[in-house]
Amino acid sequence: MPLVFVHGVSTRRGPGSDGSVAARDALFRRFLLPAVSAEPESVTILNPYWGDHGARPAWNHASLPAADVEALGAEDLATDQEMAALVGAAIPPDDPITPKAPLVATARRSVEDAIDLLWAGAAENPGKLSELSRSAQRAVRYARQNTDWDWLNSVETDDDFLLQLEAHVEAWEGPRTEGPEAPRYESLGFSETWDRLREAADRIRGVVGRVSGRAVAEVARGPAHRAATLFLGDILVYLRERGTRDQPGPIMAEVSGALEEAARSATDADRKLIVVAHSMGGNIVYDALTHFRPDIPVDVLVTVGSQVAFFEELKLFAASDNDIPRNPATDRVRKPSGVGRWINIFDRNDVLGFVAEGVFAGVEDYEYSTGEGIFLAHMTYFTRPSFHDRLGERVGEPAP
Amino acid sequence: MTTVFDTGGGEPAAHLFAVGVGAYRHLTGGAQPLDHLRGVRLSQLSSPPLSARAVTDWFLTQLNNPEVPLGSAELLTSPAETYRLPDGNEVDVEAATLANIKAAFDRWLARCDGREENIALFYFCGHGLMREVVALLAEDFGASSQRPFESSVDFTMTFEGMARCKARRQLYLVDACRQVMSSTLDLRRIDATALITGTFKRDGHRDAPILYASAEDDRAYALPGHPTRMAEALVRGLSGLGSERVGGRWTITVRKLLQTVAEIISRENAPQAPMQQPRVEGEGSDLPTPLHYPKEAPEVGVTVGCRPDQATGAAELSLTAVRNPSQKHRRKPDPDPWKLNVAPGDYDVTARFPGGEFADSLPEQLLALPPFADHWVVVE
Repeated sequence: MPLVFVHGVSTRRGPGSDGSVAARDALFRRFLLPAVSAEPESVTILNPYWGDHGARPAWNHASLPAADVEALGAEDLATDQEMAALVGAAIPPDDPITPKAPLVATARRSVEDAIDLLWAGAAENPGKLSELSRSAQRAVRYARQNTDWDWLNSVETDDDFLLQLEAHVEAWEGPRTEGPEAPRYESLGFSETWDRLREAADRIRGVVGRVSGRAVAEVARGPAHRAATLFLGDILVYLRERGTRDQPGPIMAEVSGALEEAARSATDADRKLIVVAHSMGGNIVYDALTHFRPDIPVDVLVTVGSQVAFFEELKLFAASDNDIPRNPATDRVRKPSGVGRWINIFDRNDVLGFVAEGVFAGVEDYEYSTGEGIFLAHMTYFTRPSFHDRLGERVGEPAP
Repeated sequence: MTTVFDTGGGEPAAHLFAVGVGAYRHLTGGAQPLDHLRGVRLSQLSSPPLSARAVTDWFLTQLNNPEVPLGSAELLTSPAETYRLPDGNEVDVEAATLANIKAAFDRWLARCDGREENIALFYFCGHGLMREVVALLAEDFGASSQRPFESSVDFTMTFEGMARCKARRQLYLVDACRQVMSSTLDLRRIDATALITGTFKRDGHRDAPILYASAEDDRAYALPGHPTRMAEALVRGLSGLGSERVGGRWTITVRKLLQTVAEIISRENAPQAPMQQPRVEGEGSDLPTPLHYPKEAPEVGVTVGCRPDQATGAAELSLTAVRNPSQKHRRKPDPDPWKLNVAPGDYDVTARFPGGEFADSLPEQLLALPPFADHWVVVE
């Protein structure tokens, strides 16, 4: 069973790209794939990259007001801003943050958010991602199912919070992913996951410390203008260069090539193909499966924070039919004929994510809340273990 | 006193130094937990004392090497316990604090230093950490917040220092993790204690392999209440699986033993057990230094099955010794591969299909030599 992930707009390769993809793949293997495959570790995951074919401002954003491209000044700008985005998404701008204990502040509002923040921070470093994702799964489920949070009242520092969280997650009687029959080994060392989370906590404190005096979310929104231009640019470039069925444009060629490769690599024993598409990736995949490559069967299509329904309202797809709807109250566009199940996930805080049931028949809308902010919500779905946990649950449930 | 065995003789001999630290006094769950170690994610362990005793038991009762018999054994365990000798007498074993480790090491080193032909055997089991050196943690690890690694052994420097030891044959078995803990990265250096200081001067070649239970920045494991995976593999290797023919005689050489221990652990990795990656390092690890002569011919762990996999479940498998056809093993159809122990030698393997699902195979040759031999009969 192959899985194809199609990224969204404003995605460009950078120094941390490989690590981010590896972290996302590890979370897919831990949360989503067990819902549809008996051997999630052996599933092929394809990540077609079309960012190089997207918008390339000829003057390198010279049209933006200068303040909007202002950097934090550090060499680790990208990682600082990513982390600030996560902190900002977890903590509302009007929430006071203690620079010495941002995790405690986050956890008192939502332990799930604190866990997302910690694991996303730890996943920035490559290696041992499988172990990290396993512990993330257990921690997220503990946070979702636990009802007694008295221990949170007694922690004052982030280190204390981490120690207490570790102790409670390890002592929690919820199911272990390795199965109840698997013997538990004692290690002549320590849990690397929790050691790495300690590093992540240090890093979060560092980011909060560096931006103290300004709302973290505000710092993270610094590049919003730039992101918005890339968003618009990618859409316009895609529509201009989409091409035809016989001569698809470069973005469509990249994505449909990955879909074809995935379909080819499906085995006789398990021919399922699952496609997860984020943001603009959902529009590209929809175009592919309705016009360019309707012959490729997809068992499960998941669109996340995507604009497919809005694009269809504007009749922007190659297969869009201007005669639908004759009666908007009842008429719907049928889901792509080769798609077995279509799940569309949106966040009310994400103004770029749209519901689809009002436009399409056969699609299931599900809401997930990432937290606050426009671009923050849009950019942080796939870094969050809690999102992957719910995604796995949805895909594992029978279709309504 | 922690010397559990000492012939006191001056003849060439093997001298064992075995340490197993499971009780860490100052870590969480220990007898005297200290606040400054609360964030150190190292737990109390059950397997190290059992492992050190298992290794000591084997050498005291099984080692058969007329040229270099066992000369002495130092044993330290935490918690400190009594140790039952092969003759039934019990002796007190001291706790593996740094002070006791140093004292026992000095006694061991003095005996090893007695002759060039001696074999120095070093076994440590317990928590291990790594940065610029490998640190092996003693029972009183962390006693000082100012000098956090004071009560740990700087194994890297100790190994270097042992180049000064007269015994030219040395074997180091480090049954511990070699992880790098993030909090140690804040330290300028790991101030662990060398049991003997290395020098720039080297006195000739030594045969001194090290078997680490884990790869760098990785872990070693045990089932709670059992010896570690490495200790169990070591005893299995010493008990015959690590044999090879040297001069017409079954011999456990150090080289073959280390290869065998690593192979046993690797074979037991996922899905049965967590991934553990032993590593052979040190000096002269490829030399066939004889350590032990098994009194009986060793057995070979054989696995037989069919390809494609589903054919195994339909096959009647047989294994017949070429030189002694009366020595024949058979198995009825079963979906799992056939695992059995046999004497070393040449065998004919056949797969028959009474249900006719596949064509019967012709006899195929299998050379079974320790430690393991696998054979897959390809059928159509």
